[in-house]
Amino acid sequence: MAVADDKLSKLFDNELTSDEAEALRQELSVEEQAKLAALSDLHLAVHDAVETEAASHELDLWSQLEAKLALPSTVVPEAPVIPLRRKLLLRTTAVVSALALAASLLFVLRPATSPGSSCDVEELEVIGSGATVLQVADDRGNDTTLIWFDHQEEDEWESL
Amino acid sequence: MGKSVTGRGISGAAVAGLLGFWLGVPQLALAQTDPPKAAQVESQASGSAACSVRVIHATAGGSRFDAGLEPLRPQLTRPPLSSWTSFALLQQHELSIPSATPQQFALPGEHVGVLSYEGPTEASGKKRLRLRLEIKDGAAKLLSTKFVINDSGTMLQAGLKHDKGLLVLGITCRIVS
Repeated sequence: MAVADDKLSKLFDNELTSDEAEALRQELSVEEQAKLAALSDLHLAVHDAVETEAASHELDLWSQLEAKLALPSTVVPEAPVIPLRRKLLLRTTAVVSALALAASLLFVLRPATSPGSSCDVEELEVIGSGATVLQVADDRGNDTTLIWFDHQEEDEWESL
Repeated sequence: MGKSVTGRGISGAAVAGLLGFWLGVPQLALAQTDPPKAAQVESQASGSAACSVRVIHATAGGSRFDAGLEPLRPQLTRPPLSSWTSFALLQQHELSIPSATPQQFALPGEHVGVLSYEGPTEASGKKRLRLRLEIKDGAAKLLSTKFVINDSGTMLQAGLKHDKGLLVLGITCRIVS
């Protein structure tokens, strides 16, 4: 009975148990034994050819990888170390300065005193019922002086 | 156009104020108040003043408010002038008043105004002007007043009746030289 090629291959590749392999070897014909020998020769020939080819091309992966790893790397500077007391002092100074600056800006940019304010009436003479000096406050709380006198058109004026 | 009676600005004084704030000097608060007259430093009467006299007709009817009166809106819309609802700018006289040389300006109703510059004065570093205002009806002086205002300051005068309304004078002056 002829042995199938797949069984012959399994025998060659040692994929059969020892009992199966022994039993199969007993069944091999001369032709099949020649096939098995040919497979062995072919295996050896391929193995030798691959080794010879590999030996002629020395593979140096590290040198290539090293060349790529050798790209200029950035030097990370060492983080400055500031003493805690100095750091707190700096922060406190910054906050106080910012608050002082804000207060100063509020002072400088406050609504300017109305130029209409601060009028001093030194003399006042009128003809008629009288006069009143009033302070007119604007919406910013600044005062403008208003001199009001009662004008009666029918009066007979006399020179002051 | 006259100078605005209100405004914001950063001046040299403001810079000094900033410095003063940093130094914690309280003089700034003092500078905001009027000193006694005796403390005012008088200067020689010289130079000239530039004055803008707005002649305003205030009436109770309508709601007119001329654009030229915007600088005076804070004052005109407050009591007692807020009793009038319409404000028309009848005339605006721009006067250059040399010291001791009174300048006249026309007023409605054949009245005449006379404004005199009696010289600069100074109080706590603040420049001021001494002025005299007269309102005449022919030879008669209806009003005569002498007053001191801050440089670029404004003074209001009211009382003359005109065309079912009231005449208001807004006088804004600054020192020229």
